[in-house]
Order: sequence, then C-alpha cells, then structure tokens
Amino acid sequence: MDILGLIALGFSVALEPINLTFCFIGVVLGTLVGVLPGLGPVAALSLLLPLTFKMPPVTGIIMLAGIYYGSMYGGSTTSILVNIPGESASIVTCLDGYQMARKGRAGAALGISAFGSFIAGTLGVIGLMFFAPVLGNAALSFGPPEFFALTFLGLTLVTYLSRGGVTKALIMAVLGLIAGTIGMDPVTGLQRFTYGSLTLMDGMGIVPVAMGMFGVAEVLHNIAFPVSTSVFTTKIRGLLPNLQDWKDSFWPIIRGSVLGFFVGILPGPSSTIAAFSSYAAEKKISKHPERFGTGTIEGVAGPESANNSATAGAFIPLLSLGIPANITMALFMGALMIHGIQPGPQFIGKHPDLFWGIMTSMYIGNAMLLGLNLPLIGMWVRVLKIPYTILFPLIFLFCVIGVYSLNNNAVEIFVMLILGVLGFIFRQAGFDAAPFLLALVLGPIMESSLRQALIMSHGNLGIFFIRPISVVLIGLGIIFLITPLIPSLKRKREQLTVTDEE
Amino acid sequence: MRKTDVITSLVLLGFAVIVAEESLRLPFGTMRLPGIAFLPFLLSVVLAILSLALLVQALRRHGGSETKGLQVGLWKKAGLCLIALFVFAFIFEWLGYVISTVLLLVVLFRAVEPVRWWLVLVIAVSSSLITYLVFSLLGTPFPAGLMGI
Repeated sequence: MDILGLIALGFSVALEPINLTFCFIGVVLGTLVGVLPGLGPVAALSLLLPLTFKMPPVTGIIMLAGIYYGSMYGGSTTSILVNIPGESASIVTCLDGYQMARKGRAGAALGISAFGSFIAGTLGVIGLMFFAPVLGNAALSFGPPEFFALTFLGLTLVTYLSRGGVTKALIMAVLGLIAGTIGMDPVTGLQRFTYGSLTLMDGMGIVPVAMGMFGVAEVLHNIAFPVSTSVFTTKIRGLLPNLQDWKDSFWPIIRGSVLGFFVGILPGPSSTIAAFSSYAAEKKISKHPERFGTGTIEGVAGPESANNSATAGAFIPLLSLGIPANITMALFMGALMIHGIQPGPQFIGKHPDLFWGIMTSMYIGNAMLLGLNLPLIGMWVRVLKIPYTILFPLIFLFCVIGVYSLNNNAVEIFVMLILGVLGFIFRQAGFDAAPFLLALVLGPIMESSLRQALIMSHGNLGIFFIRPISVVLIGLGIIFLITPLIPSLKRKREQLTVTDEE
Repeated sequence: MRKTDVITSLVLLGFAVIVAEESLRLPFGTMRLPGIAFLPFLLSVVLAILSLALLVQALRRHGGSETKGLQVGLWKKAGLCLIALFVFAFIFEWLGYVISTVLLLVVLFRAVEPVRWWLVLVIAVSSSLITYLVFSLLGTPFPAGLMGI
C-alpha cells in the first residue's frame, strides 16, 4: 500500500465514532489533569490508563495519546495563568507567558500556544509518518547487540539529563534495573526475588510504580510542602492572536516544530529539552533579545511548538524500535503491552491499522484541542481555583482504584503506596525518579539482549565492539557517562538540566 | 544535604550487599551462558561502587556552608494520609468499595485541613458512587464487600 492509502486507512480508523469519542474524552481529561497543580503528563497517563484497559487496543491507545497531549496543553495553561508549570516541559512557557498575562495579554499567549501546538503537532505527525517506517525497516536488521546498545544509550542519556547529581541519577537507574529483574525470568522460567508472591511473579508493574512515584509521591510532597497559588484573575479577553502576533510567531513556530521533532527522537526528557533549546534559539536569533522574559510572544510560540512536536518525535523510537525514549513513552509501552501489543521493528507492518490510526488520531486530537481549549479556558481557570485540600483526596482515590482495576489485585495497591513513600523520600534526598522508571522498563529488554548477545558470541564481550551500530551507540553512551566528570563540560550539562521543578 | 547523602549512601550500600547476597543464591551461569544471577549480581556491584562514590563526594564536601538538611515539611499530615491509604488497602476488599472509599475520602478531607462536614460528605459519597458506576460500566467490578454494596 502506498503512503496515501495508509493515511486513508488511518483516517478510516481514527474517524470511527467510538475512536473519535474516546479521543475527545482523552483530550478533555488530559487537559483537566494537566491543569491540576503538580500533575504532569506522567501522572495524567498513569492516573487515566486504567480507563482504557477494557477498550479495544486502537481505541485505548488513541485515548491515551489524547490524554498525553491534552495534559501537555493543560500544563501550558497553568504556566501562563499562574506561573506554575504543570510539567517540566512548560517551565519555559512561564518566562514570557506569565509576563504576557500580567500585561493583560493572557488571551494571546494562550491562543498562540494552542495554535503553535496545533501546527507543531501537525508537522510532527507528518514527520512521524515518514520517519517511523524507515527506522522500523532499518531496525529489522538489528540483533541483540544493537538492542543492548540502544537501551544502554537511552539510560545514560536520561541519567545525563536528569536533575540532581549524575551519581544520584545513576544510582536511581541501577535501582530501577534491579527492580526490573524481579519476577519470572523470560529465558529460563526461573523466579527471581519474588519470595513466593504471586504478584511479583509478573515483575514490578510499570503502572503501580509510575503511579506511586509520580502520583502518590507528588501529592505527598504537595501536602508536606504546601504552595499558595494566586490565579490570575483579570478577565481574559481576545483569545485570538492579532496579525502582529502572527507575524512575530510564524517562524518561531516553524523553527520550534522542526527542532522539537528531531530532539524528540533522541532518548531523554525530550519535550523539556526541546522547549528550552527553542527558547534559547529564538533569543539568539531575535533582533531584540532583551525583550525575552518581559512577555514577548516569540518566547511562548517557539517553546510551545517545540515541546509538542517533540511528543510526535518521541513516538518514533517506541513504535519502530520498541525502545521508549522517556518515561511517558515507557508508560505508552506499558499500555501497548497491556493490550497485548509488542512495539518493535515489526509493529508497523503487523498492525498498520493501529499505527496509522493512532497517527491520524493525533492529528484529529490536536484539532480538537484547538477547538476545545479556546472556548474552555474559563473552565480551566475555575479548575485552577479548586483548593488543593479538595483535590488531593480525589487524586489519591484515583490512584488507588486505578491500580486496583489493573488486575483486581489489592497487593498492587501496596506496591504503589510503598513506591510512593520511597519516591517521596528519594525526592527529599535529591534523587530524581525518572531514571528509575525508565530503567525499570528498559531493564528486561537490556538483560535479554545482553544474554542473547553473549550466547551468540560464546561469552565474548567483543561482540558489542565489532558491530558498527552497536559500537557507535555504546561509544555515545560512554561519552555521556564520562563527560560529567570533566569540570568544564559539567557546567554545560548543568545549564541543560535547569529542569528543576521546585 | 551532606548528612542526608551520607545516610542514603550507607543505606544504599547495605541494600547492594543484600542484593548481591540474594542473587548469589540463584544460578549464576557462565559468560557463555549467563544465568539469572548474572545481571543482579553485576548491578549490586555497580550500586555498591556508586554508593561509595556518593559517600566520598559527601564527605569531601565541607560542612561549613551546610544549611539545608533533609526537609520533611508537614510530614505528620502526609503520614496521616499514608496511614489512611494503607488501612484502606487492607480492608477494602472485605468492607466493600463504596463504604471504604467514602471512609477513606472523609479521613483524607479532614486530615489536612478541616473542610466543612457537609462538603466532605457530599463529595465523598458522590465521587465514590460515580467512580463505582464508571468502572462498572468499563467492565471492572469492584468488591461488594460484607454489606453487598
């Protein structure tokens, strides 16, 4: 089938009434959770994942994708109106977005971020349509050494870019890998570290862990360290950016989209990096860089577009290689596997309806966001005003019943709560939870490919260094491991990781 | 952070020893055919090295500028919520979904700030019933428990 035929197939799937409905529900719920303070895309996905379990796979994944970009958009809304980023990718939006709001231009800021996201999302999806199948075909020739090298690079990049020191990030990654070894070994069928628990036989589930570390731990943190927020209360009028705004924003949006897409393909917290690098680039290119930070529209348009197309880019390694590039993609992978689908080189060929259906639905979902959020901003503002004391019990409730509904297994509630406590403690001690979660997902892939590679090479580790792709990937990984040790490069890294959310 | 880092690194070191010891009970295999203990053991060694590195880093930092230790904030409130959640996890299959979630929500609403009682009850009962209905429709039955609701 040629590409147009495949796109038509995609639209025929995405436009089915049931898929349209759940895409819509996903977008609305995602925005709602994204607007809530302290809850970003990871929390949104893990909280709402259980809703999709009993749906057909395509519908479930379409809804999840909707939740994801909805929550990204919700995060921008809070950045602009309250100066509180819902997630790290929209920290940059605060810089100029909130200033615009203070100048009475909240409407234009919200409007341009919606349009920018839409345009970037569209370009990103187009890019994804072309790149994912290409990479998927290339990956068909990947063997165990290449997959090991890929997971290795993914992990080192995440530790390189996570907040806190590198040592702490590496510790979290190793702990995640250790947690990933719990359960039944897929190669031999033997059990490891299960201590007779039936729940642990299947391994540590990504959903209880994500909900614990990003849901429960986050709420506990907000209870222990309350922040007072003041919602911007002036009336928001004129949501449509004017002609001058468009002129100022057009190229930042295009540049941000392209930049974001390619950053998105790389492993790591790509949407955050995309937003930061777009802001830096726009400031550098701009004729009047001094205006950045005082409420200039380019400072909102570029990063907002970049973080959106990065989302599309991040799907590429997941769907074509089966390797999640960041924790949100890890959650998507978990969701696909719950629906019995294994992402990887064969995924696109085996499930064309699913792949193209999801792609086109992302396009439709972006259009819905645009249509929906401009009129609904008033409602999101009202959501922002709900006091936290009312919100947090409901968030806890959702965590608990969500995890339970996975397998109707109360033990998983305990797993989630314990990880919530651990996540809270680790956070207070300066450890970032992201490397842990990604390592937990990558661990099993890493281990089986390592063992298979060693069997292939009769125990010779040299196999990783004679195959061109694996040697390049491992070499890059080693560079990322070593560079933080060199003082001058260390400072560069610190500039990149200004993603501190506190 | 210095004292916190020293403590965490020691705890992690201890954990690494436990993992190493536990994984050596499993078949180790050979380089040619690695067994299931291979990776966990390797990881425990890496973890031990990293915890030592953290310990050394913390000790080499001078305590002079030390201002920020481990912040616990309003940990009593957070702890109260946690206890409520753990108790919930123990009893809810026995007590039934609706009753136990209403109780959980009431405790949580009152734990952090005294939200007005009528509001607490309205939100607790309605959200319990709504989630029950939504998840039943989605095909996830919740335990009815001893009262049958």
